[in-house]
Amino acid sequence: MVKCKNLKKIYGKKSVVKNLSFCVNDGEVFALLGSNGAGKTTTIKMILGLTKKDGGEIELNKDIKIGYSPDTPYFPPFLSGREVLFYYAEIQKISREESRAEITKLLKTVGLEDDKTKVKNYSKGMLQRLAFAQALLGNPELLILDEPTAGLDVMGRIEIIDLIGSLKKAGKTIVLNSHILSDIEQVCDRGIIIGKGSVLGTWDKNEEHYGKSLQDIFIEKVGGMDE
Amino acid sequence: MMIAVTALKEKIRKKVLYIVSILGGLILALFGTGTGSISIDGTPVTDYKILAPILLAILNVISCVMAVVLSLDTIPNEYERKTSHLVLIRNVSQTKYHAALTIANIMAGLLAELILFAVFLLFMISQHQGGDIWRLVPAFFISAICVVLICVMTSWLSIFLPRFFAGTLSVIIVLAGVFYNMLELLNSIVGGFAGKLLKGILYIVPDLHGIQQQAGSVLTDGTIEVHLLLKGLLWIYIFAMLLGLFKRKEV
Repeated sequence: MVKCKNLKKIYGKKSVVKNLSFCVNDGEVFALLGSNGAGKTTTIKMILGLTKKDGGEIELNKDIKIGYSPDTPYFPPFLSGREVLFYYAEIQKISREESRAEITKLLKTVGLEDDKTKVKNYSKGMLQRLAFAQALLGNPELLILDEPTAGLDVMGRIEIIDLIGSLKKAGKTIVLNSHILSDIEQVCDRGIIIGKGSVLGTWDKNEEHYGKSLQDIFIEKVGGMDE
Repeated sequence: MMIAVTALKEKIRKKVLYIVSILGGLILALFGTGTGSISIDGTPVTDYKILAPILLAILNVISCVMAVVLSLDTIPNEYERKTSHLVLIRNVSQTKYHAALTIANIMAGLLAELILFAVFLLFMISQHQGGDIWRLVPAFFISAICVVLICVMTSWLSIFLPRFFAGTLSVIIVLAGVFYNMLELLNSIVGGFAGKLLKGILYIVPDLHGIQQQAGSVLTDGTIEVHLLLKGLLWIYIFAMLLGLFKRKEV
């Protein structure tokens, strides 16, 4: 579904992404793993067309719908969850009748049925769930989730991981950007480990890693680079 | 339209709109109430026909500064808190997005101007000019040209300039615009490099004073110079075009 070949991004004199290549297949949950500042978010922004790439290619069918959940979601605080979704549905040009039914369903999916509460009174977990819901508007084929569990408490993380799990079962293609390895191991099929903008290694849930956990592989690759 | 409405709702909920409007209203009330608040050559001005254009000019300066304050943050805020990401990935172009946010700025600016005009209305009533209240409507629309112009200009500058520079430059242009007649006078006196510099400034600064004078003329039965209003509208068109041309590299 997404094919990135030799992606490059330079900010000033600093090369943030260097010759990054990977491929995301239909229906899989693909992980972009890496420490803070590894270039994961920049890669996502290039896929979404939010930032221009300085080299390389991104193969992505222009007709597919993409849903995106940002790392630090911000929504107008005076709106309720339902109103926020109506706002994005309107921008997305989804008809009123269509969006009304879809929003009710989405709010139920993410567990935000109480639509009287304003966003300003939302917890971080509720905000992340609302970000999820807006990403799912219009039933996108590809979902890009940037650090969906960052800053959440244990229960919040469990809720989000469960949600990703249910989306996976529903057959969605998901690109998950995270540095929380246990989350990745739980829901992802494959992934790449990024460090200083380059691919340091790959990980596949179905492959034999000679008894090594994802954490072992990550430390081996990222730790090795830092030395 | 949804983007503009939501951005406007957010502005309406912020205190800055009301604080600045109330402060502006207080300043107007200070000049307008009682007799002798404004003096010319030591003589207190009490004649409505002299006092009204002066107060309207003060109202215009406050409205323009408010337009800068209200327009300065809207676009940068959207990018800083990354609200822009969720809009731009939904096939909304930067041009449309900036235009929608600018419309919100204009609506907020006009709302602030309306609050100030309400104070002016009280002044008119206190001056026993109740029969001329209808004149406030065309005066409002003429003054609105200045407000819209400043909103569009500040919105455009805020796309590519850091907030501080965009704000400072906007205020400088507002001040140069409201004192346009003085700059013209200075230009006719000063020669050499300074004269050329002034001439250059007069080219790139909109004549806010000229527009405001027409609003004053509406109130006092004076002659209206339509070409000055058309020039104001032309400036709005130019800034709107620039707004469409400029895009952020990184969103």
